[in-house]
Amino acid sequence: MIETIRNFAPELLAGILVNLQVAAGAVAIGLGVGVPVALLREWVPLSRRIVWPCVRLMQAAPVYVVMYFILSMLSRDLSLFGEPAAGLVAVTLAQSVYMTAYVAENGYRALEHLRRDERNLALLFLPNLLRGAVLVVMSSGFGAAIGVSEAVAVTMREAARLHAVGQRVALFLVVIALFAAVFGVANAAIQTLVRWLSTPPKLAPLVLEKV
Amino acid sequence: MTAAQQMLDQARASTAGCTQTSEVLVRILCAKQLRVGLRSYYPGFSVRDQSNAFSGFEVDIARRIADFLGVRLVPVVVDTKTRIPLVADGDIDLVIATMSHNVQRDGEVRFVRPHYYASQSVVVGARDRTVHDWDDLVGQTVCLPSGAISNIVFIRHHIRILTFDQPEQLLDALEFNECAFVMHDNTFFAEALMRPNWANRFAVKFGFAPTPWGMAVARSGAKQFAALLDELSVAFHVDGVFLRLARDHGLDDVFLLEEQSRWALPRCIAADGMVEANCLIPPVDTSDANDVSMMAAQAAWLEKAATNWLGLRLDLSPLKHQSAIGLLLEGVGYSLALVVGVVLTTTAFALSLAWLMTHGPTAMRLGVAGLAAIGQTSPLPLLLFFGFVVAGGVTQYSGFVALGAAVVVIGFYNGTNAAQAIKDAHQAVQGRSFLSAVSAAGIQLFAFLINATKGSPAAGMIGVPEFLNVTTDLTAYSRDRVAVYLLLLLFYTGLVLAVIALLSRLETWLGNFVRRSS
Repeated sequence: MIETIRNFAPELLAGILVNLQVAAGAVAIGLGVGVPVALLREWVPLSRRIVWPCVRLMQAAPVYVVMYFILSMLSRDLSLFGEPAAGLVAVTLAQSVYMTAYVAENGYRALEHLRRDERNLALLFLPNLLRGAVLVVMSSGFGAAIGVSEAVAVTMREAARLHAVGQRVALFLVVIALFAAVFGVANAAIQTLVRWLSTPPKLAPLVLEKV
Repeated sequence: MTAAQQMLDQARASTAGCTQTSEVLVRILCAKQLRVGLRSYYPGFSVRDQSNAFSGFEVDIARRIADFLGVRLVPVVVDTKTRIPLVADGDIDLVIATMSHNVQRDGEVRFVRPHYYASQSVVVGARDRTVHDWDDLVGQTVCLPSGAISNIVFIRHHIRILTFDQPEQLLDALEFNECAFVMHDNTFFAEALMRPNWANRFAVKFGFAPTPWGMAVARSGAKQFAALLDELSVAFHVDGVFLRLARDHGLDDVFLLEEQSRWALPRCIAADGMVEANCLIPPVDTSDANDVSMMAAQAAWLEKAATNWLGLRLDLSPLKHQSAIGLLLEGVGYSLALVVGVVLTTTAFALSLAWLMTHGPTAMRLGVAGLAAIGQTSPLPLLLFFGFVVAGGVTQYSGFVALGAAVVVIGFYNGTNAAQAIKDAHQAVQGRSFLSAVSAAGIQLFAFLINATKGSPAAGMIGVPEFLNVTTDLTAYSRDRVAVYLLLLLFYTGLVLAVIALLSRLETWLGNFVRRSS
């Protein structure tokens, strides 16, 4: 098993790199479209009637289905740097739909805080953006369903080479542990950033209002 | 070979200057390359190794054709879903990819005849399972290659199906008990059945639908190329080229011997050198006159209207067959069951894990917190495949088992996140009841319930025959699926919005209830 994992590690790292590429692309598009949408909503009150339902629809659209829809629209021989890229582009664009809605929503909240001169709360946009990026990395594994060679697809391929259920379960547990470690650290970093940016701790105001 | 050579010479004569041309043959000669769609894993016929080199009977046929044309062979990997669209849209020049020739496919591509091989579909299962015909399979789950034309036959016999994109996944699923039975062409199992270890455990249960296999080119713009390939195909039969290549790869040669004898007969070649139509094997007709839906005419009208008025190529073929409509409705049922299931399991995981993290003994709190951390940091697709492997390991995999596994995994993934939110809220409302904490974390809980609903279509990744999965399979050989996926997107978005509306009402009710109780 150790030998298997040793041989598998470079492939898995290459797969994780693909997940990160997807996330980077989705965050870039999300920022490129989401920030102007948030600004539009803040500066042009009339636009809210159009912008808000669109953001809601983007939030409600399941990424997995959006991915198939986009794939059906792309040319099958689409390539980037000489490599087939239809699947990669589909999963990136699908994630960017989610990310755009996420950025538009959080960006608008940040602008509201800035308007009220709550700079620290407005700066929470940054850890929220990181949180969104982590979510996109985690769900970019949907690409495995359309042939994108990311970490989950690579793990499935490796599992197919093993000839016992126990070995397969062990392989999955190792990969899950790896992800738990990586994202655990990422989440801890986000929490630290939130604490650093926040003014002295406040107990969830929403909670007290509701009770 | 003379007729084919004459056609080639004529085409070469028209390549002068190699200006824009619509004829595929001239384009091939100008580009000096032949793009052939080949399978990446189909033992004996076409297998791509780790160095990206192809080998097999079909690969050798492609090489022979490229050599004859004097051009370079460019292999392009295709599968059952892509082989027809790629050649029909001109992304490849020719497809030689284990494709059976039937009347339905004649509308999409132009088949080369005479055919280069023939096979029949077979159902394979463990030796100790007694199955002789369709009746013995009713109510069972059979694993099939996605996009295969014979899949509809199973649906008509009320047999549950699970589809796999890659044929090698079928062998794997059979080996690991994820499928009790698998179906594919007999040629696919030939290599495995020659291995004593495998043949001692599995056997062919019964066969059906013998079909000829054909190379195919685009229906438009490939008239000269198709005619040349027809001639070449006759020559390859008569000269024993097909026979030798098949024997080189250890393939069954009964069909090829029959074809060689047939095409050696003078009556099969007309005086002008053209083939006699009555010597050609007709394509198989897989349509069933009894399997026409009540809305077949309306679906055909809509397709035509979309093309004429909007310029859209709309493929509503699943709506034309009663069996396919039945499958779609079953898919909708599975999707609804998934949504209800994931909402319930997410709630159950959220409440139970949060309770244990806030009220359990210290060891229990730590253990559950660790479990919750795994749920919060593991990608959902990875957890789904983990659930698939575990479920396949402990029980006979089926659509229901897949549904159960997906409901538990998606519920766990979202429930752990919601449980964390309830735990945090419990700390914030110190001294108040657990229900107050649940109410305080209501927004996060509902956010994860919505997230679970949004994630439910991903259950198709592990074989749950839900709406998206079924539709993808039924339209696998369709050339244009944009409209179909747009409808699916509207369906699922509507489903999520409906859940949001329901949860909003529930949130208001829960808030009022907690206020009244306190």
